[in-house]
Amino acid sequence: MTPQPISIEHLGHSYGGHTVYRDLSLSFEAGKIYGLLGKNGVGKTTLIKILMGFLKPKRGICRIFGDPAHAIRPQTRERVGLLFERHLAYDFFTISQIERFMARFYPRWKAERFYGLVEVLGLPYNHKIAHMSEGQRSQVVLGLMLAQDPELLILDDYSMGLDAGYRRLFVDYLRENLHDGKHTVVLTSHVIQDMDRFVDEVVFLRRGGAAYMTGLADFMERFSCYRLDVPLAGAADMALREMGMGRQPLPGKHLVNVEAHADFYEFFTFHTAREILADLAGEGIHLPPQALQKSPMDMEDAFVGYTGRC
Amino acid sequence: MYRIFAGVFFKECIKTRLCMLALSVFSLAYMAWIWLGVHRLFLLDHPEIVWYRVMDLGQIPYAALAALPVTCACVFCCCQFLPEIRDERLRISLHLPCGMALLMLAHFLFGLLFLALLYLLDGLLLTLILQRHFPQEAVHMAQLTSLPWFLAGFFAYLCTAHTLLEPQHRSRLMGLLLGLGLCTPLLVKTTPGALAPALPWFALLLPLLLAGLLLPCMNFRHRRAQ
Repeated sequence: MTPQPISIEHLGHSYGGHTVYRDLSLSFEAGKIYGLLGKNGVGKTTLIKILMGFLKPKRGICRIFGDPAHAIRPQTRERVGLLFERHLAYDFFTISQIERFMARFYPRWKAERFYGLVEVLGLPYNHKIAHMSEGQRSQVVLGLMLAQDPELLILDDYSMGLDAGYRRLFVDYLRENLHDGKHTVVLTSHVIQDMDRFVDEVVFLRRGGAAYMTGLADFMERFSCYRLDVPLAGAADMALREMGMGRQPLPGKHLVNVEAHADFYEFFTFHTAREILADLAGEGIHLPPQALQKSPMDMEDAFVGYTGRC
Repeated sequence: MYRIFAGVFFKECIKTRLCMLALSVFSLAYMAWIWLGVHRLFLLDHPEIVWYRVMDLGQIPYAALAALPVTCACVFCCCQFLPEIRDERLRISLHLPCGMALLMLAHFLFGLLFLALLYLLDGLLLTLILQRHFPQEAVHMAQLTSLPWFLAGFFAYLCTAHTLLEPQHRSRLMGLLLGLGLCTPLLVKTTPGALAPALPWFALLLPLLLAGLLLPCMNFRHRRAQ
């Protein structure tokens, strides 16, 4: 049986007294593109570092094509492409030098992929990487990664430092070249709206190490936002604001999150408006049946709705 | 193996070429300064007096050379590894599909090879400078006297690499102390050539130190103690 590109089994990790993961288990199938989502501090970078093999977890194991991520064999490493945050590269090299350096190590090296991407920049091949902008460097790094012809790609915050144009160029290139069912991609980004252009599955990480993996299309179909435009007064308003800030538990078992704004409220759920109304009534907040209106969401709205604003 | 060494040597050449050039020029200038100092002795005194001081009293007119190998080693090591630890760029190399031990060994051997060539140049220049003014036995004694300084340079290089690559502060300090402990006895002022018999024993520590450098590399890779 071919081992899965990534499998995480009972992962536990902590820094000092802060537990990042307690018992995280996830499995990534071949040929899919996964977006790793979560608010700052939930352990996205830690998980990426563990996946990349640059952090040894305290408990459990993370396997890359069957090898422990922290002790991955060279022949397995050949099948994995890494993109480090801020598009790290050896900036003392020129474009052609860095290609020559990397090509020596990869038997399946495809120089034409690298030069195909770099030519878009219109720079001479003796242009030094240190003299490039972040966007230009991102093209070089992406070119190097694709020239390796890896089966698994791990991209740590690919959008950091890129303007809208370079971000779009980067995402489009990923989508056109990697969305073929042969490549498995795990990526994180602070720019959520880019992800719905090419991500198949999303993994939501929450504080304390809980994770929820689901298909993006399924998530966007099932996850809803109901808006209440009637301002509430007194105790009801106070209760919803407290819930929004996480100081008070959510009523019932159908709500995922509540956000209280100055002049309206948002209720996020995988269920119907009727079930939300019943949950609120149980808390003493009685609303008419038509009070909650379904509000359209893009991916960023859904992400914020699921994980909360703060 | 050839592929790994060729790749790493290519990268290190590009990265450190300016540093290598600067250190070579600096060494040449430094040796020229030593030559001027030796030459000056013969301008100020009769050659018999200078010979008497050097060969009978054990004075070393080239004593300033002692600091050169260690200084060059530390500077070169910083030029080689600071760009790698800046933003942890070494991760790019560590992800290359080859064994970590061989990859890092190639990095260290490149550094040691450059220093060996630099020290060979320094030693050759010292021999040429002294051959102009002193008999062969004094030249031979100078070579024996300067050998520990060059060996100290190799130790300084390896210990600086340990200090730079190690992510844990306590182990970094250990690398620093180890460097001080190994270099100090080799640089201490003694009778000319007195350390020569001990040099093979000191040299035995080099491969041990080289192998021990894999530990900070592993610590760098796994970062368990963040």
